[in-house]
This record gives sequence, C-alpha cells and structure tokens, in this order.
Amino acid sequence: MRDMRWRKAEEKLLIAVSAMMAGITSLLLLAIIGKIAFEAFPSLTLYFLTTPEVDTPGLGQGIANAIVGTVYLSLLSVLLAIPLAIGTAIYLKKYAKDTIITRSFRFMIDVLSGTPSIVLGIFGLLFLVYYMKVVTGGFSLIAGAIALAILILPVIERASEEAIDAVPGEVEEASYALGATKWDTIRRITIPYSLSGIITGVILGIGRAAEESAVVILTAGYTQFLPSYEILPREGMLFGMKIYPFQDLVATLPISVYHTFEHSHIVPIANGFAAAFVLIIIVMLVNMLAKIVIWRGKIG
Amino acid sequence: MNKTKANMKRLLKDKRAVSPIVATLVLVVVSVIGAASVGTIMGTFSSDVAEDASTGEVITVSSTELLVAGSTTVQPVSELLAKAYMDEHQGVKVTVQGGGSGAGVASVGMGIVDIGAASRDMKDAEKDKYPYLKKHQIGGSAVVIIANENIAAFNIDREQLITAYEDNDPDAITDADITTLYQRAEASGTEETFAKWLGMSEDEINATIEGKTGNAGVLAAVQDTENSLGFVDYGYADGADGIVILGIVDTGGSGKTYDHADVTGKNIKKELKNEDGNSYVTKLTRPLNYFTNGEPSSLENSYITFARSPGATTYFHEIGYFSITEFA
Repeated sequence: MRDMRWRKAEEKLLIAVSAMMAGITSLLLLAIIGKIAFEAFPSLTLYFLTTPEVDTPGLGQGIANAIVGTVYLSLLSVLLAIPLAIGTAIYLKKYAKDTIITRSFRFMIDVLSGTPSIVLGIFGLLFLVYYMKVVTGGFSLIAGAIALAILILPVIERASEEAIDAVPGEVEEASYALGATKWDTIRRITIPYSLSGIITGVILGIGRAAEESAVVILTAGYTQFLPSYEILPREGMLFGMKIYPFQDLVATLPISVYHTFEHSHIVPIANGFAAAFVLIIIVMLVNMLAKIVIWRGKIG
Repeated sequence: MNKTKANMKRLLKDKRAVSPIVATLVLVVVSVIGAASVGTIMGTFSSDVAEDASTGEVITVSSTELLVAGSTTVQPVSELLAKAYMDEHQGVKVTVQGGGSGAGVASVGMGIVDIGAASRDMKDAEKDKYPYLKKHQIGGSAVVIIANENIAAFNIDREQLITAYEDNDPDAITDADITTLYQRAEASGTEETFAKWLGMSEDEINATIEGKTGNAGVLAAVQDTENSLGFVDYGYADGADGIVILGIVDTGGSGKTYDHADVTGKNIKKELKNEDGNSYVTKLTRPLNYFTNGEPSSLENSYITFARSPGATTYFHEIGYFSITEFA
C-alpha cells in the first residue's frame, strides 16, 4: 500500500517537474520577445519600417531595405535548395539501395548540417564572391542565396526524408498493385502524402535562412538601398551586364541589428531592438504558416 | 464559355483540382518567364540607351556604383559621406559595409570592393601581397584610455598598463583601484594602435582579459562595470556618460605626461597635425584611410576628393573624428 502511494507520488512529482520545465522554456521565450518588444517600442514607427536606410538622415534610421532583403534572400535560397533537397530525399528513400555509397551520402549530409555557418560563409566569400565574381557580381543576392541554400539544404532534406518515411506502406503497395510504376507512385502517392511534412521542412528552412548572419555578411554584404529591378551594362561581368537585384548587394535584418550595436554611440539602441523585433515577427509568421500547413493537412 | 465556368467552379470547390506541386512549378515557371521578359525589355532599353550614348558616357553608365568596405571605425563616417555625396551626385550609388581594417585592405586588394577603409596604415605583409594599393588619407582619430566613472580621473602610467595587460593584472595599476580590464574581442585597428603603443603585439595582450566587440562593446562594458578600464576611440569616449578619460604618463615611451584634463579634441587635433608628441601620445593617434586598387577610377577619385574636402568636415565631427582638412 505504502509502495503504491510512493509510486503515485513519484508520478505526480515527475509531472510537476516536467510541467515546470515546459513553463520555464515558454517563459524564457516570452521574456525574450517581451524584452525586445519593450525596448523596440520607441523605434517601431511606420517611417522606420518603410524607409530604406539611404533615405534617412544619419545612420541606421530605416530598415525597409533590410526587411525586403531578408525576405528575398530567404525565399531565393529556399527555391534553390528545394529541388536538391527533395530530389536527394526521394533518391535516398525510394531508389537507392542501402550500400556504402548511400550511407556515405547520408553521412555527408549529416556533416553538412553540422558545418558551422561561418565555415560556409568563408567558403562563400572565397568561392562565390571572389572566384565567381564575374557571375555572381561579388557580394550579391545570388551569392548569399547559394551559400544559404547549402546551409538549409540538410534541414529540408532531413524533413523530407522523415515525411517520406511516414507515408503508410500499404498505400504505396496498393498503388503498385494497381500497376503504377515507381515514379507514378512517388508522384501520386508518396509526395502528396508527405507534402505537409516537406512543406514544414521548407518553411523551417526559410526561417533558418532569415535569421542567418555569419553566412550573409560574408556573401551578400549589406546595402543601404532597396533592391532595384533592371539590367544594366557592366564591364567585367558575364555577358557584360549586371542583373538587378540578383547580382546586386542585399541588406538583411541580422546585419542591421549588428550595425546598431557596432555604432551604439550614434544609432539609438532601440533601432537595433526594433530590427530584431521585426526579424522575430517574420520568423514567427513563417512558423505559424508551417503550423497552418500541418493543421490543414489537406494538401497531403 | 460554360465549360470554362464549370471548370473554374470545380477549381474553386475542389482544392485538390490542381496538385500543389504542379501549382508551384507553374508559379516558378511564370515568375522566371516574367523576370526574363522584364529583364529583356529593360535590357533592350538599356542597350538602346547605351547605343545612343557616346563611349565616354557608356563608361560612366558602367561605373555609377561604389562599394566602400572595411574598418568599423571608418564605417559610420563613410556612411555619412556616402549620403552627402549621393545628394550632390544624382544617379551615383555608394554602398558602405563594415568588416574591419584587415578585411578592408584584403577585399580591395582582391578586387571585391572598390574602396577599402582602414584605420591604420598598411602592414608590410599587406604591402607585399597587394603592392598596387594606393592610400588616400581622409581623416584621423585617437585611442584614449577610459575608466568607469566611479574612479576619479587620473594619469595612468604606461609601464603599469603594460604589466596589467600582459598578465591580466589590474593591481599593477597603483594610482587607482582598477579590478577589471577589457580588450577587443576581434582584430581591430583600435586594439592594434593600443598594443603597438605598449610595445606589444595584439597577441601579447593576455588572452584571459575579457574581449568586447567593437568600440561600442568596450565602452558599454566599462560603463557597466565599476572599477573597470578599457581603451576606445576618442569619438566613442567624447561626451559618453559613465566613464572618465584618463591622462597618460608615457613612461618608457616619449616620457612625457599628458594630464587627463588635457586629453581633449583640440589637443588631439593639434597632435594629428604636428605629430611631435607635445599635445597627445603620437602612437595613440591614427589615420583614417581609404585604399584603392591602383590609381582611383574617376568615380572613386570624385568620392575621395569629396571626403577630403572642407565641406565634409561636419560628417567627421558627427562621429567624433577629425577630417584631414583640420590637421593636414
């Protein structure tokens, strides 16, 4: 009897402890967001959010350039990463036999996902910005997007593999039983079934790309200007022209935050917090989108 | 017509009428085609313009952009200069980035930026590696020693400072009760100037001394920590709350004493001009430089001339530096 009571007490204690941990974790997030929102409040004006830095007096007084740049860079990098990531996932899960080669493939993807972003950044600087300058235009949206695509590739690839794993085998077998080819099955059964999982991975990738700073500062650089959309003749570039905004510099929010800190004696610190706040909002929106996709689930 | 309507209805009703993958692919294809056609139209337009223009003008068309990158010390003043320059020169785009003095020299040497900024002169190793870089001094600044305001301003002894920074031994400073020292976390022109004055290399500064990022980081750390000491650019210390600027007894260096009351903008400017060590420690002053890869292009030249003009002085003052016209 006593033993039973002890076991029940133990159970309750563990529930209390784990609930407390969960509470602390959520509180931590709330505290961070709360503090940033509070500090950001004085700077969160429409002017600050909609004016590129170049059109403002002084330094760091507008972040429209960084907001637009962040969105462009994360979307473009995801677009580049999607075909590679999903293709790899489908190959590894559906076509490849479990050989030493596929295992080393997996191992390499693991290594890639564990690569510190600064390493990818320095690779991007040397290879994309320096050696490929004729093509990428040096520090540019495209150089940043390629480097970020490499960074988020494992994220999307892993999510896709897991989503493909979750597809019930019976459904696929039923497809084969009806005489469908492998590709037919993948196209009509596997991918639609795992789509919500894949999209979740893609959206997490967008979030990861939006918040990245080390890679971005070394490949995309920073600019005080909004992206422009044109093609101008330019000596020393591929085909003698420069394609905006792809081969042009691009600004991002993490760099704006860092700039404020670097020049905190000139730029009001609230501006940095405001940029950070906008970044959190963007990442939160992206995550909410992921939740909605999962919740609707219908596409899958 | 009716069939289309029915199809539309089916589409709206049945969310799975179009597979999301096909939809995404269509979207991608449409946007690529859209971008390509816009690009072609714009391209035709630009090449029309280019054909109309004379050769000279074409060169102008192809070089209306400048990328200035490097020293974070120079960066804020570069940004102000860039804005002012663009106000006067419509159609020119000057973009400013940070990165540090080393990155400034290296990236202009590598040709990935147009103008490299550095808050120091080129090192010998850099001169060997990038022999064609040309220096254009635009201004100057000075490193000052600061302490938390709970300490009364005093004149710090150079020899004591050497021991303190070599051994992370704040007790070596006997004229005040210093308990915490700060250094820069990253390679910086400010730290290099400071270390050079102490006759050390940056590596010889004790690694256990806490590093802070940027002048702003060191300033904030000294402001927040009682009995602490650090070094920043005069521009960051001037008018900052919560700190005092220390005087210097240059033992083992010039041997002169610079009283804390005399460490002022006026005296630093005088020193930048004369470099005789009478007004402030020469070795703690430093140049603000732009570097170009070879002779500057006409646009680079125009921008640098603007930065060196008397009219640009106000932008240097805004940051707490001095323009070249004030002391050259």
